[in-house]
Amino acid sequence: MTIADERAAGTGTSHGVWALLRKDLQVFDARDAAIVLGAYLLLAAQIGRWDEVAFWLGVALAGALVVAVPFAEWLFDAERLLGSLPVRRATVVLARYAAALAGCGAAAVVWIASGRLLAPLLAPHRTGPAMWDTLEGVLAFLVVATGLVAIFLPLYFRLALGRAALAFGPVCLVLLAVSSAVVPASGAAAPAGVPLSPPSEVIHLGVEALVARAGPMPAVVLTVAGLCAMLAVSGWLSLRGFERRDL
Amino acid sequence: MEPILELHHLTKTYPGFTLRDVSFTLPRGYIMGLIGPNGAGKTTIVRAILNLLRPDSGDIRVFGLDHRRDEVAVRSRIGFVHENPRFHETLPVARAAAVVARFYPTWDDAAFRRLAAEFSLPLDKPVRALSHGMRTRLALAMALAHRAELLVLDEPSSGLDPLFRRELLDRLSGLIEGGDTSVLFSTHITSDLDRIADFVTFLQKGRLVFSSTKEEVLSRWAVVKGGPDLLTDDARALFLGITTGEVGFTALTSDVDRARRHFAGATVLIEPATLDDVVYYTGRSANDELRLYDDRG
Repeated sequence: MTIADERAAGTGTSHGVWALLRKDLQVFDARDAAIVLGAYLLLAAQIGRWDEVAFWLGVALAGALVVAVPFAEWLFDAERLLGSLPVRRATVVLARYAAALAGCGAAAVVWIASGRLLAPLLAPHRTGPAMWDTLEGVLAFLVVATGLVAIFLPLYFRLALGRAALAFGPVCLVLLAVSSAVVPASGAAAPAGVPLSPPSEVIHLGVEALVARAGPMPAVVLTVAGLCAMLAVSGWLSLRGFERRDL
Repeated sequence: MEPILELHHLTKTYPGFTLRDVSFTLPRGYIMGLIGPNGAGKTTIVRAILNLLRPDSGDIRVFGLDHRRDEVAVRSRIGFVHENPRFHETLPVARAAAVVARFYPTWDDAAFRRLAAEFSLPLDKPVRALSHGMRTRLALAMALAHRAELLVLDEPSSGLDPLFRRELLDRLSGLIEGGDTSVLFSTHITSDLDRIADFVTFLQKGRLVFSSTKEEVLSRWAVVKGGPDLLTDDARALFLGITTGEVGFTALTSDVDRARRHFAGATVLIEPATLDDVVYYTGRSANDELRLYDDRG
């Protein structure tokens, strides 16, 4: 059957991606969304006065949304059902990236909206803009969240959820160590003598340096291009890994 | 006979298990039983057909198509019922079916609702509330609702109550009457196949023992019972599995004519073997040496 035949039959790639995305959405209901959002807001109300902490809380939400569907499939042992559906593995990979990026986008919206909502209450005497109100902050969020997707999904597709979760931490630590070395070396370090703290600051400093050097619009274009390249490599690794995995 | 499923020299190695050089063909419009004890490789074959695992070598053709290159076309025409059917547990039955329906252009919603009513499936209850038997019914209703041309059933009757097991077998028999649907039925409950199978493929420790029509198996294989003095070395060479007791032996042969010639004039009882006998005695012989029955001979 050719691609045209598949489309005519309603089993083409785009149809498969939409069907998989709708399946992912149907697995969760409004109650699940309310629980996640409620828990997030509760935590944000407790610790959201610190920008760095709120940043990582938003990233954690992105992570939770990315992992939610694979976790549900693992929990219900439904991966074999998914594998027996008439869709290519490439379509499954594509749909999972689309779902993960949508999750990251949703988490970014929640992070920005909750920051704006809660900041006047939690930190009324703030001087200067909060992270979620700056281009650098938002770009840093997208870089970190997309980076997590780009690292996690190839591990997930190759190793399945359990072993991917175990491998994810060490891989992230190695990459953070590398980026901590690279960012100061690129001249984006904090003032001499001031040690770099949280990892998010490393990314944030890098993005700040990029915006300062290239200007806001080129920085956005360069960041998005970089993320697309990262996702392309990640997607290729995911597909390779998934096609080699026995379900 | 038009082949609907062809396996050629399929080999797959896991740590501690190898499926070795398995070949068989299922013609359109027939039921094939895939039998063997647990760990024989039945599920590995089913997973390979569905392209859930990568064989180390060999190839599989379904509907004349390559099962990997044409996986979408192949899987859209296969209905799969797993031993332990799993769905997204929180979804109501009707919604779980709707999720699956979207992937099949040939899905017939009216047929699904009719089958759900026949199987007494509660459409509004969440899947997690269904018993094992009801989940199997749901999986079967889904497989039939998209008008699968090949049904692949992996131990579907394990854990089913006798009533539905009988219904399932009757339904499978009815399905092939039109001549368009074929069934690959993996099971270790051989009595199911005595009732419905046209072909039998027997696996033992990852190796194909035989694949042929049920009639051929049952006409060539026999159980021989005789006194202990008859169990000479020559007689042992005839058998694939032997049990001995104080009063004599009971053994399985794959060549009943040769056994009749050997024991001509002696007091022995030669009975047609059941599939259960075949699995039992070859299982015993596998502990020593698995003698392969050459189907081509």
